[in-house]
Amino acid sequence: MADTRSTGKTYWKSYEELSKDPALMKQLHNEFPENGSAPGGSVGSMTRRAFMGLLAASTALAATGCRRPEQEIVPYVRKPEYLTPGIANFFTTAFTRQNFAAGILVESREGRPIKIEGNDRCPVSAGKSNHLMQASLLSLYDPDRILRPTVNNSDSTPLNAYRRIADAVREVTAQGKTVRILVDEHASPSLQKLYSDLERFLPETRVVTWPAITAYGAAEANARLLGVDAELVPDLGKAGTILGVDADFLGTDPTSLWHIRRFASRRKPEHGTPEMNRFYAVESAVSTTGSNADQRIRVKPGEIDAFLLALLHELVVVRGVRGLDAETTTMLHGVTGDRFPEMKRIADDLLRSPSVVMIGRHLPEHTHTLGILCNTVLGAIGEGCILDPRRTLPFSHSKQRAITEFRKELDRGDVGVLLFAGVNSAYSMPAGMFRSLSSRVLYRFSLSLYADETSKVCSIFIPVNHYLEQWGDVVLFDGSQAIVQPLIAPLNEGQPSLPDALIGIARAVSEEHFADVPNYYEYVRARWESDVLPRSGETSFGSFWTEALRNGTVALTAPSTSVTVNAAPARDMIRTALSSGNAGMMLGVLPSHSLDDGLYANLGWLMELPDPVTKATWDNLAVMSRTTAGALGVEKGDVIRVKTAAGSTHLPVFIQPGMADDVILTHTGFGRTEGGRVLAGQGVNVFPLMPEAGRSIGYVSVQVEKTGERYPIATTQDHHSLSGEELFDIDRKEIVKEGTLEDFLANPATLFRHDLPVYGAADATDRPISIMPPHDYSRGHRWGMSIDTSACVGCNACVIACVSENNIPMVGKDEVMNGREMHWIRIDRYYSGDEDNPATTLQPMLCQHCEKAPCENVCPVAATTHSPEGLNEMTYNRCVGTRYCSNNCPYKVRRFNYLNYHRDDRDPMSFVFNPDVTVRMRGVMEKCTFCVQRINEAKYQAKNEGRDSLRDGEVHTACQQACPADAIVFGNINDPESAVSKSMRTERGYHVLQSLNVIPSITYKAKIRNTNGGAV
Amino acid sequence: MRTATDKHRQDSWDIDGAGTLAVHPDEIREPLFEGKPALRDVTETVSGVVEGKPTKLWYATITLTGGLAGWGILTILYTIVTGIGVWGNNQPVGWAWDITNFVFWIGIGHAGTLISAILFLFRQKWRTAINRAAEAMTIFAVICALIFPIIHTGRPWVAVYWLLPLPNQMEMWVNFRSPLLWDVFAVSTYFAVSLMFWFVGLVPDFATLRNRAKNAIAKTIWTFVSFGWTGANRHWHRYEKAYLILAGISTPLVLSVHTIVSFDFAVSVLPGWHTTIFPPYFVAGAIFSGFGMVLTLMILARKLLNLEQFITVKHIENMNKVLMATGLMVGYAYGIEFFIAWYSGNPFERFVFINRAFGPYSWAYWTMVTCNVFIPQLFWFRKIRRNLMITWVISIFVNVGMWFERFVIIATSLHRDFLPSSWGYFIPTWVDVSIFAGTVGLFLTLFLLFAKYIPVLAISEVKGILPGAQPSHLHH
Repeated sequence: MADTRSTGKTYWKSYEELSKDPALMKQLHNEFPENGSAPGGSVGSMTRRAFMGLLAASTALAATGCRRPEQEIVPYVRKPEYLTPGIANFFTTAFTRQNFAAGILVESREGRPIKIEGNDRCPVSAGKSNHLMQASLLSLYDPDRILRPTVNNSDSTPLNAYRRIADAVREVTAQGKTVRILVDEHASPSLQKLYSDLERFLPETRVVTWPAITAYGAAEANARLLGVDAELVPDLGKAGTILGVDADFLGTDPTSLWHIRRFASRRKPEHGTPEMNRFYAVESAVSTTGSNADQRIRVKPGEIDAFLLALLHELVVVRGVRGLDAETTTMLHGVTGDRFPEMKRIADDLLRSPSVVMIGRHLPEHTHTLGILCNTVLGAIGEGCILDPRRTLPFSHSKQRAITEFRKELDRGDVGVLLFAGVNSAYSMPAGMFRSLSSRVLYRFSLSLYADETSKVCSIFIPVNHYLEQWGDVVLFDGSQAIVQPLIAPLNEGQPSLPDALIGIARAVSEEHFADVPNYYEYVRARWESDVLPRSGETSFGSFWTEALRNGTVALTAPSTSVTVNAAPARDMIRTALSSGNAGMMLGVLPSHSLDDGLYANLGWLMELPDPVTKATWDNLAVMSRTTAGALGVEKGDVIRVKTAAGSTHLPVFIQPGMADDVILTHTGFGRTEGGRVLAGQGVNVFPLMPEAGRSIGYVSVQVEKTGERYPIATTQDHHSLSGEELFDIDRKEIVKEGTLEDFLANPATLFRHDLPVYGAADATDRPISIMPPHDYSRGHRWGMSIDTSACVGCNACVIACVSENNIPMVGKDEVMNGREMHWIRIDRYYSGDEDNPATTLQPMLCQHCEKAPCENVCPVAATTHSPEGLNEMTYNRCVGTRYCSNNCPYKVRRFNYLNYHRDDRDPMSFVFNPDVTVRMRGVMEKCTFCVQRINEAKYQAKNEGRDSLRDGEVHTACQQACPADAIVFGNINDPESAVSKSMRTERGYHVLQSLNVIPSITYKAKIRNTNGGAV
Repeated sequence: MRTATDKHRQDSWDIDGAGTLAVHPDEIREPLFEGKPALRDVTETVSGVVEGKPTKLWYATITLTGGLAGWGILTILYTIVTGIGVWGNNQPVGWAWDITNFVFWIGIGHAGTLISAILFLFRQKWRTAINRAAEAMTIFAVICALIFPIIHTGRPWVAVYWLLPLPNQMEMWVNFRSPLLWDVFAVSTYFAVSLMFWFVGLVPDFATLRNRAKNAIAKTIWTFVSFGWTGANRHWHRYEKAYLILAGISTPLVLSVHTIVSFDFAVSVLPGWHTTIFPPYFVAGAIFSGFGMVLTLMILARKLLNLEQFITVKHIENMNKVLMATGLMVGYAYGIEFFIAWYSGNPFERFVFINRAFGPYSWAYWTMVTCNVFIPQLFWFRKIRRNLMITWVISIFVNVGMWFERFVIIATSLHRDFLPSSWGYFIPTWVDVSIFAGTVGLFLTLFLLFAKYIPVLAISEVKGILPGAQPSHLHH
């Protein structure tokens, strides 16, 4: 067993770091590799004319002198109920991502939503949130969304547009043609009811669900084998061993928020918590999930089926575990698992404790079938088990057949009116399909949040409301339901919501059937009164509705379902699996972690969010292993042409440790062209590379060519080619600490023993020597934080939560390349071990609020100072911007406003700002404040209630509040009973760069890997 | 006048039984003048430059340097209007060319103070020929240096006065613990004292010009700045006292200013900066770079202003010796830094130095070592020390090398420090280059104006050491 204290393991970040490639050295010495080549234009590319113009303008501005324009402010004459200026109100609503819905709590200030949190009363989110939830707030205020309806490219009104659509519907149905409404995945029972009503009452109308991300392997396999046409949602909190097969359940899966919560609940090896789980990842592409594996096995896409068959063989044939019928068992006899030496250990672990096999959503039906067989054998399926059939994603049935049928209709030319209702098909359909589709349809209309690619080819476009502006409802995968309530009147006055627009169209077509549906609000209420109320056991609808709005979710027990596995259809699938395994180069098109399906591509927050694996921003890449790159003769930044059966495109190469060989990974969501200013020209649309309709993510055969071009890649770590440090092994034990569970349980007290005391770990008299007198924190609070690197999965929720809470600007690709990104919290990532399949260690890094802060004493104007409560405070007004504090910060967590990054904010974007946090101008330094505004707010509250000190848990930092893994604990460390004090009193605690004796207020907890026998 | 032949030297190298030199040192030393200038020659030569019309070459040069300075000012305005983002500075390289240039220019100034103060107190008579120009250089260099601490801030419009301890109703004071604040005091003191020292020395010469002035305007100006100097005995008496006192005040400044500038780095926690050797290392480096710049300019000036008589090869050789001595100190410091990095056992410290020599910025490091350590070794050869052309070229190398020394210390230490996740690389922009070029232009413009309009030699002091000017103990 490796002893991490003494082996002096080498941590490294990238291949450039390890390589001694002379070409890279040369490239490195090319002084100006990036200027002018990047999109967007930077100050560096300013023309002479622009410069002179600016100079003249600024001189003129200075000469005229300026006053702020006079603006009259009028106080409320009658104060609205519940609304006190300066006091935040929280409202419940629900967030939907494909079929996954979760209750959220929206912070509203003076009537405008400014922050999204998870709803702590929602059983799914439990107060936690993810980056997409957080960022969806920004799209509410996206200026590119504020549009008028257009009819034949001229401005119109919604009513007029409805009438025109109704005319078209009447015209085509008279000709015997049909009306088709293309809609996205959703989780709303009322919306589903509305769709049925539309199909029922409108002539020749069908609603076809064809979302951007289509992957129905799981639903189809479930339908065939279990009789459940839906995706099951496992409860990983019950699993002692998890085998992930190319599954990104902690990353891009819609349900990841839930999975991270449940997974991380068993990653904290302290006594008293459930036994730590063990996670094996079998992966082709490197995912966030795979980065968290205790052991990660690299396989090619073609080997995935073989791996699962070998596992079944091991379980059923070798170990004789029952669960499959004789015929199926016989089929497995011929399988051999020799290729996978880890199989014995995996089988041991799977059989030892409740375990589950997770299959990647993008994998085909036969792979999911093998997964179901594994889970059947392991006893993971059934009521009360890890895979409980009562927990299914709503409306996640396979749409494959409907899509195929719809395509046939189109090909026949039967469709007269095509209404794109919230789907951007022009962007997400396979190449060529949309063109042939649109040419055969008489009328195309679009209802969309943005004027996207699809809207551009439609004769009528009606912009629709954001979900924070509309009524609605959702059903969660556990059966509970929640109301979606508007937080604000539509910013675009008179703009309908998507269901309202559909009702409007329906009424224009068929007045008699929709006359009694005044709007979608009434429609939702009616359904709640007729459907939900009886199931809830309440009697009065008025109070039930109000209570439902207040709590956010209404718990409803899902009906009991018993499943029996019908293995008969599995045999065909096993045959398919046995014959599958195509060799050659494969392209993996998978959802992007930050942009997902591209709906929110116009949000700078997400564009600039580093990919958890590559740390790349603003682009999608051709991610590959260095062996693959070597075989192709390409390097990082080289542009390659990838060609599939469906189409071809150009992608920049990125070399990523951990990728399987002969596979190239790329991500969807990029390459949008219409709909906004942020998304334009960022990355490449890879949806058209997928040849099959109804399967927009997964692996396909690909041909690759070098183009000889270069493309700059903006990563937030390894900004530039690194070379040189391979000459010297950096001792990084000061930075990250980790160990195995076995070692930790054997000697918890000594494994991570520190030479210097850590907060909570030793008494105050045991402090290291310093010539400066210690601060006196004895009165009041002393704020501190603990971060559990064992629980952190690197999901980035904290990063966006911090951006949203603290008005952090986005800087653009050029500035990211120049190392000027502004995030106050970042996820540092270190690799160790096998250079082709390394172990990953993640470390959220933010201001450490050092007790002997090196930044504080060097500031000449005392703009950064120490608070009596241990905060390292930043006074923006006082800051003159010498940047000395940043230079002297050992953690490099300070961020300088090199330019006026908020200069491009257009109305109503400024409404997204948190009014409690100053928007920083250029020339000042900023950094994490431990959300001091939240601390102060809680203190006011306490003072009003006559308390001197805050109760534990009264203040949550934004990152802590979002963190689905509960890796971050914040609070008063003066109170030995506070959660943070208890969390810090751990044998795993350490301070990063402890020997500097800056005494950080953040205690990290060492990462524990639950490996089976092998080294970390 | 004795001529300095080796024969003569040998003859004179005669020590009597009492252990004292039989001959006065001045007799065996190489003379400080070429030929046998009369007292009047000094006045004529020096005043002639001021009174004559500028040459075409002067006009051409000042147009060029003035244009460069103007461009620099425009780019500074552009920076102030747009933000520091127009430079290449980034995260983690918060300081780059800005502070490099600041330390570089401050260093240049040091030769002037050393020559005017320390060499004066040590009675190094050879200083008189070069002290005026060197002091002028000090002042111009400090002016160039002072630009950077102001414009490198994100908000210079408040930095210019918030960095000063001005009483205010908010009782908001500067942070006296910050080395940047110490800088403010050190550099402003240095500038004030240097200016005063220079001006006091100029008063008798201004009076000379006043006396010779034929033009009414010139006369008015010279009258004003000469403060009613009459050359009276009492004036001379007080002048000498004042000069001595100022020299006394300036002497510690030679050591203190760059010591405090080095504290900007030494007081930090950054590996590569956090070093106790920095104060002497910086002072030696400053004198080294200062003499480099004095040589660069004086070799040109003596030729163009016909001062060969007064600034002789002996002066150049003396300066070359100082250059070599300080260069060796700097080289020693480079070596010791590596030794301590290894000897300390601090892994971060070790990494920074290995990275410095072999990392992405190794080209900058080896440029520095070549220019500052290897090339000045040529001065071991007397022939090279006395060769003006080679000396001039080497002085350019020293200027370049010393700029790179500051860049290496600042940028390479910053670009890769403790946490590899935040490592980066710095690439200068055209604005960085323009502003530095602008300060070079400003420096040369000021020097050209000085060379034309202000006596480039201290007339009275040079006269004081002319043979026969001091009919003292030579004829015992």
